[in-house]
Amino acid sequence: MNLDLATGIGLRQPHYAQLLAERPPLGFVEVHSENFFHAGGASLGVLERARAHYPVSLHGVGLALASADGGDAAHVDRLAALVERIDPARVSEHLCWGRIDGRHFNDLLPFPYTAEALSLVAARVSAVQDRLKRPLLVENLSAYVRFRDSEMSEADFLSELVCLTGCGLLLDLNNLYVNACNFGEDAFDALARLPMHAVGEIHVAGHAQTEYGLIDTHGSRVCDAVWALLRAVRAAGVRAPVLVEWDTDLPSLDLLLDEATRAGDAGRVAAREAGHVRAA
Amino acid sequence: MSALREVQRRFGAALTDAAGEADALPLLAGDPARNRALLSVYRATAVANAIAAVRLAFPVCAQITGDDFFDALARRFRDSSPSTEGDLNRYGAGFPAFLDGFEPIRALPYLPDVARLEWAIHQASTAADAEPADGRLLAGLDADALARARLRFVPGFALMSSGWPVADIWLRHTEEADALAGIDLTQAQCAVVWREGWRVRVAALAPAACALWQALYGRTSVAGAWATACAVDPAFDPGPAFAQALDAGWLHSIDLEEDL
Repeated sequence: MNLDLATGIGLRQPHYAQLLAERPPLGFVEVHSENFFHAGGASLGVLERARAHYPVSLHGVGLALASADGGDAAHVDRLAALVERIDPARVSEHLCWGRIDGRHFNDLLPFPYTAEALSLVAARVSAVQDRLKRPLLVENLSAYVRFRDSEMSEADFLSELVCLTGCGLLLDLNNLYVNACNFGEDAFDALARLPMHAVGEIHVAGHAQTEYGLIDTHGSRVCDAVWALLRAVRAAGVRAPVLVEWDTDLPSLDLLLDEATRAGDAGRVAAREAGHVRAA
Repeated sequence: MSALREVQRRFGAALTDAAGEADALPLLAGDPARNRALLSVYRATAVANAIAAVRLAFPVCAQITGDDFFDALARRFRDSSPSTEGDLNRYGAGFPAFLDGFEPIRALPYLPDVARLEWAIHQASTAADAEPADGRLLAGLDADALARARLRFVPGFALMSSGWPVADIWLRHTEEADALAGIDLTQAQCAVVWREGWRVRVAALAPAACALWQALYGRTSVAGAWATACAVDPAFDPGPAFAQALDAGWLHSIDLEEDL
């Protein structure tokens, strides 16, 4: 499905009634896939109603693509059933691990970017894509630690993964920015190393400044530096939908829609200035 | 052994217990003091995610114990039964059994059964949508066919008999704050859980009706289940019980003997 420069927001429970009643103009809505791994009930029913009006992006948090433990076939089956039911515009997951020796930490955990990990993640991504019969978008991670044994950067790892599997990239600009700040790097340099041709969706979000550095909280407005990254991505000609990600301290739907409008405006202006979109 | 597996084992051990940090720190690049602090951030996130999932599934238990005490309970539960799956909505099935005989809740002996009821409600809320049988399901059946029939129930339907008034405790807590006032906590009760559209409903059942529905739910024939109910209460009248079931939408379909 071509979502082009569309903007979207997360479909979150406190906004269900207002969103379905008012049906604001949005390019798409996104949900965490696992919250709809059900046979039926209210939340799945709401998602189906939303799907009647908006394209849906399914964003997974539990597949743990890099877990050395082996894939979770039942989890993939539940994702496949949801994909079948919702016919989403995008299906995405994170470049992370979460489970070892049967224990799942239910968090997006970093790992060393090695040839061994690349081979494992590529096999896992290919298996998921075969099962879903559609490409998976893999998201760059906000990682607070790095590993001595890493043999390549995350950007190089993702580029290789795209080559090996044909998967797409979910480009999370806030994650990119948080990592760059925390490790004293330039986010624009990191951006330049990523495979822009493979970007199938963009995330922008807010983060928090803590004593440990920036933490990717998805609980505030998008900062100016992340908007600048979005303008750079649009100026580079990337035509992929952008999502305002907001998961904690959820604001009113109106504020969220306002942030989505800003995301759309920032992207369109930058794309037009760079000549990638004809002025209306 | 795979180097990746070894890294994840050591990182995972540091997320389980601060004592595991010593083995994880040499894996990490950069300042060890900062990495130690960041491992504690990851450890806290993993705990918080698990606690939030348990609290979501057992809101009335949290209301009864208070949030801080509940979080401590959920944390102890996670220590003994960590999550094994990537979907936290499925986490917590073992929480009621964990509470059984757990010393710190000795003053709240009904809590494990309230938790059992809440897990049934949690399951019902996401059960498959199904159209219940209409009110004429049993109409026109001759007495003999009805006696031999077995019933099927809508997805999410559940029964539990408890030594505590679990249905009353749950119902009162969904309505008001000081919800235990006026409930006779020594009274045993059977609770029934079902879905009405997207809404999960809970009600108390009399002992004989409970015996009837438990037998029918266990695929006993109508005659057999009636006998079970009459053993509990010789004056049991199945008419109002079936009327209640059809009215509430507990029943999905009927298997007559020729279908079996």
